[in-house]
Amino acid sequence: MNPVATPAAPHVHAPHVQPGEGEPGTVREHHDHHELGFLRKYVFSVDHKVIGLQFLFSGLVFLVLGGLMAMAIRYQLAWPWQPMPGLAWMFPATGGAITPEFYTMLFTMHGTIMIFFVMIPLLTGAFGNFLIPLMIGAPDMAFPKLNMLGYWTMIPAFFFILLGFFVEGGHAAGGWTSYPPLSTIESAAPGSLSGQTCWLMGLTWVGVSSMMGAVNYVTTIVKMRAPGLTMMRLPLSIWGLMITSLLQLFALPVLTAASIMQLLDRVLNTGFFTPTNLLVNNVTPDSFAYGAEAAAAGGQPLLWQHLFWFYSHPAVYILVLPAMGFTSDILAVHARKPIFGYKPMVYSMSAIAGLGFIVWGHHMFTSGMNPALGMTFMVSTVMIALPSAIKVFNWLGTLWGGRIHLRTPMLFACAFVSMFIIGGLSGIWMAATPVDIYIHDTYIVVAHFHYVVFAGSLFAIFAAIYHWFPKMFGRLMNETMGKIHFVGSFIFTNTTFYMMHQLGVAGLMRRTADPYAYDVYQQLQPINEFITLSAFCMFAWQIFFVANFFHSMFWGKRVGRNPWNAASLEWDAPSPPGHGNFDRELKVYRGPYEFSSPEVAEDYIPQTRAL
Amino acid sequence: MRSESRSLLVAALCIVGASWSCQLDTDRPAARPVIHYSLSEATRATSPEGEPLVPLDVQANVAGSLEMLFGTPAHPQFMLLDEWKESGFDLNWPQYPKGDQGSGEFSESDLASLATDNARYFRTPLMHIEAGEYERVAIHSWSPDLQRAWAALLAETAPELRNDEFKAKAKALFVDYYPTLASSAELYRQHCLHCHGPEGGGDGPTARFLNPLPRDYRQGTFKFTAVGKGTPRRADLFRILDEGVTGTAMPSFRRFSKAQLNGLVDYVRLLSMRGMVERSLVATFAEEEALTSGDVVAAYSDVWSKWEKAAEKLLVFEGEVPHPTPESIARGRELFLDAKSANCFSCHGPEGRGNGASAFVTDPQSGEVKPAYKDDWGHDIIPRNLRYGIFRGGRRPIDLFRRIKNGIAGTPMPEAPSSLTADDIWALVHYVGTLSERPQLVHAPAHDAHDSHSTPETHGSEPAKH
Amino acid sequence: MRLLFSLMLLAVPILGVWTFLKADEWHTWFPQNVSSFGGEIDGLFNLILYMVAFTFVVTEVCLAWFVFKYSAKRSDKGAFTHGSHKLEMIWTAIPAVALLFIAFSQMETWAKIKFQKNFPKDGAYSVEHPIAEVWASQFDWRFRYPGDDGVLGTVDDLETSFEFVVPVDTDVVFKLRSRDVIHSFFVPEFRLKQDALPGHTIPVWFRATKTGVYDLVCAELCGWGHYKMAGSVRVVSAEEFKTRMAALKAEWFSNGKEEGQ
Repeated sequence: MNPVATPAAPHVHAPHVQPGEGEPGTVREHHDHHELGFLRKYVFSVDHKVIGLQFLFSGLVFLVLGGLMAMAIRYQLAWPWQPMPGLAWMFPATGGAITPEFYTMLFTMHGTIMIFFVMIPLLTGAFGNFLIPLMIGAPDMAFPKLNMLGYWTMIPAFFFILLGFFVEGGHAAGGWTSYPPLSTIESAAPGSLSGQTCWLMGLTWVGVSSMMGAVNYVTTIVKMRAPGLTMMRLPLSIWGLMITSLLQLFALPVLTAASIMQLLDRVLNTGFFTPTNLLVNNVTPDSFAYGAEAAAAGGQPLLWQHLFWFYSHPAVYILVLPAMGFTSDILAVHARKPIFGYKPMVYSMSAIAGLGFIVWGHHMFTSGMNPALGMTFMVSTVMIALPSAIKVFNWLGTLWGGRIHLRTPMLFACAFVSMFIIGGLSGIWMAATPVDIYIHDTYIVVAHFHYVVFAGSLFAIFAAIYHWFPKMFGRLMNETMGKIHFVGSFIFTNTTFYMMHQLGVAGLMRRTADPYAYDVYQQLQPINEFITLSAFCMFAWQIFFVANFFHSMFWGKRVGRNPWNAASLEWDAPSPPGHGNFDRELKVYRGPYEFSSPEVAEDYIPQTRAL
Repeated sequence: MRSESRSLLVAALCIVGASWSCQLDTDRPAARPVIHYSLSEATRATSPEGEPLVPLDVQANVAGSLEMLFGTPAHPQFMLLDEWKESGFDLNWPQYPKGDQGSGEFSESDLASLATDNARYFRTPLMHIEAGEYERVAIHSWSPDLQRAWAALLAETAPELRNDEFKAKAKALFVDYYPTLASSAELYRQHCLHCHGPEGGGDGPTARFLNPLPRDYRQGTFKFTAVGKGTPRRADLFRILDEGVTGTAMPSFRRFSKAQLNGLVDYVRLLSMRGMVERSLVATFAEEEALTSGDVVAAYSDVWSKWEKAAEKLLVFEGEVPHPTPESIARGRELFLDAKSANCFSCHGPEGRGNGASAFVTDPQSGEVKPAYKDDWGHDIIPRNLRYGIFRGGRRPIDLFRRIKNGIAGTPMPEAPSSLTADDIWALVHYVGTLSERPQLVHAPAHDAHDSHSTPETHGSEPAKH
Repeated sequence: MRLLFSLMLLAVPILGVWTFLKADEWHTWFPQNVSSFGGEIDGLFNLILYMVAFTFVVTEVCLAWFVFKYSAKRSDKGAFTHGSHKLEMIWTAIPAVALLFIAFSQMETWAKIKFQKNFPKDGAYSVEHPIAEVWASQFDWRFRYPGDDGVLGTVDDLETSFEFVVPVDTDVVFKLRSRDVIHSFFVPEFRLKQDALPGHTIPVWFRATKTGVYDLVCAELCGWGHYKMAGSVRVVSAEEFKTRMAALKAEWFSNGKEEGQ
């Protein structure tokens, strides 16, 4: 296996790694030298780092696609039915203005792509893969081939989700929530013709991929930690990813079952979600022949909402828990302080996950669900704010008294805290049932989840990219450019999303192609124009990130193993780590946040250092 | 390293600056969207060999004539015939009296009701004007004429000189608003065109997803009117816009003002006349192998006379509309099922489910059941399922009366045979009306057929309350 | 540099509060309230707003201040602490009490609006005798008032499109139904929203307190024409309601004559 093995052989923790798998590692002299071809090294790789980067790059590509859709949505909202720049060629009949069914497709696919093809793959796929083995001192994932399969099942998902744009009627247009009967009955919307089938297929494949990832992550974290690394010595990123994986393991089967039921409704007329005696677009969906009396479908549209939100509410936490973990790690490293209240942090993350399973009904307060049920869901939902609040206070406690280095990752992490406060607090309105009667499906909801997912999680992803970039590529990202990227992103994100709160209070509903024909919304157009211009600036500003990312990948400043003087295990590996990750034996003596300890002269004690 | 990052920074700034300035550019009102009228597919049809059936130069001639008569989407207008000019008749200004450069289609009371409705529609701008907050008055992009008039009014009076007289003038601008054809065309573009198409051909981008298809105006045939199978009156088109066509994708557009809806009617009439003139010119060419300018004028005035005379065929019922009684319902049922008189069941089915035998044919080879009839637009058509209780032309007794008496234009639904008296038709109206309702609807003794029917709408909901 | 970043973080609460203070002036605040329970909803919203605003400002200012203060160049090490049990207890207990207070303060209003046992019973309209049946379909609103027999679903029902006419200062109960997909009955001025669920008949009540015309909006995505699904609620005095119902009936049984124009 290892022709030049020495007594201090690196692979002591990797008895299962097969020879010839993955890349041999470029910075290490002790490994075998038979080179793998490009395909085995970068495409069909079983190395968790390469798979992580695959998720990272595909996620970033879809981020651009989803972002472009957001720009189109914003253009329509600011100047409804005016010729859409760049898309006008598709609509010669209307003089270049988009059609309403195209608009419904835009926001449906913006939501779907951003959640299922950007945020979840970036947080769990990219960083989960890259960080878990490194941070727990393992040479690779527990099941490297399953891991590879996890990325490769994303390929059919990409295929179906892109295919949908080219089918008759366009892509799914029932909102990212796909409420039936709109989404199940073909005649109900152009997007429900074949687009919805593509959507369901794409989502099912994403689900399969996430499931494989989740199994792998949990097994790896439980079974493959370095000696001495107890659960309570894990970095919070790993805790976040672990809890996320558990959420996926328990919630995802429900979504998969639900999407298969919807698929059956669509192709076999099973009628799980279709009530009897509908007449949609002049077609009775549950009859096959002209004029035939409606057959009894007897389905329940609310059933889908329960099943969907049973997954998708936990999915909201899937979108934020890893981000919380990354933020905790980055705050501690750059503030040179141990994380404040490590155990409460772990407990509150677990509490969020636990409570996350019993709050789904708050999406359905006005749906016609039993109002008594609404009350119980209100209490559980309001209480989920508590662990979130504890986390915020602990982050502030971590900053307090620190020796803060305001590098780019730190700036984004602080921005995450700031934005998460806004997103978390505005959630309380949505939890309060009577208030939700008014604000349900208005822009205040849009503001809320964009503050959590965009300004929160995406900023944490930026922070994580800036922070772990040296580990990925052995080079630093340019600090000046990073700071410029931060300033613009922070300002324009807030100018884009903050005023949406007020739009929501004014009653503006989501998903409306042209709200200004309503008397009550007419005065909101100037605000929407302002938001749209901000959104354009924010989108354009990301050019700094893209330029910096690719520039630094090839020409950035080379760094050693531990550029940030961080204490956790991944910084013990070379940058970038070779196959098998670690070139020295690991033994863990303490938690990952021993900064500014008075016991030693340096301001940090690596987890592997014996005192 | 430093110089590298500086040059990168400069490059990125340039890109951001450029894209920013592009975006800021959109802040000013976008250029007017360009749409065109084109000739119908029938005119542009080609023979199997690829030869146009109507020679290209004749097509160009037709297109040019249509543009002369009806203008372009940006500047739609009716051409004035010489005798119209002499008599001061102008189809472009329906709100002005005949003889005063208008077409005089509104009476004084009509105009007053338009003004009342304008006051409702413009309630927010009027409130701001009343409060003197002139800068808060916002005008929709589909009223470019009103935007211009308002801007001109603001420009001519300095803010400190805006007294009560100005206020009255400002209010009058909104209350007396009646859109120009160009404004109506813009409203049409934003809210109607994506279904009905630029020429009113019912072929906009959304149209192919709709069932039934949007109306194609170009034949001048409109289904749900009070005038039978002729050209509709203004009031018929207005009613469709005002109430929508239930059971179809045509919603009610009452959120716009009556004046705007009437403006839309003007524009729909223009598109419809344009289509009719086009068909008539192509037909003339097919007959005479030539087209002269005289033909064009003749076709135009001929088409207009059809529209002008629409009101003459209005069907009203002299007397009071009878209410349903058990007897009239039973009589209606008899007629419905009588092959010799009304013969409704042959298409609508014995139970009114729209599955009558004669409306469908079975393909002898495949055994597939297909609709037997096509409508005037060449699409398959099936009879209405009367049990849904969805009557597109309206559910009022007089609406059903008109449907039965006049038939439905453009469809196989025939005019009632002359053997049916008005009372017979009312009996049918009463019977058809009960098909979709709960059984005890007329508190009738349970002796006729409808009491055993469960209805689609009440199925599965709460039990009937007595 | 650290000043810039701290100021940016500080700008969030300052500008955030400022935009809420200016909301009235920018007309981005609640539309007028014209229903009996709308005031309570606004009150509960404001209650949460004040509690949330306090937390928001305190935490954001702390964040900005910490970032500014502790990012100064210093030669010593940072504070070495792993947390404080006492502090954790404090900032668990206080928010817990506040959150429970929020949750319990909402319940009464929610029960009043949504629980069927609290629906109006004694007035002219009740769940058994609703004023009308509101039908939502792609993409219009239809309103069916009972005819002379006072029973819905019979042949003498009167049907109108677009405009829902209701009397002022009266408890109004109506039934909400959908013919095809999910729609939602939303009148911003009433603070009232209820989804129309196909296959279900959902009773809804409100009491309008001011005459006028209010936009009725569909608030649940119902297809490409979602934005077109407009309606309005016209709140009129009791006498005018009678007149309008009479006019509606006359129009319903018209013989087509008055349409001559």
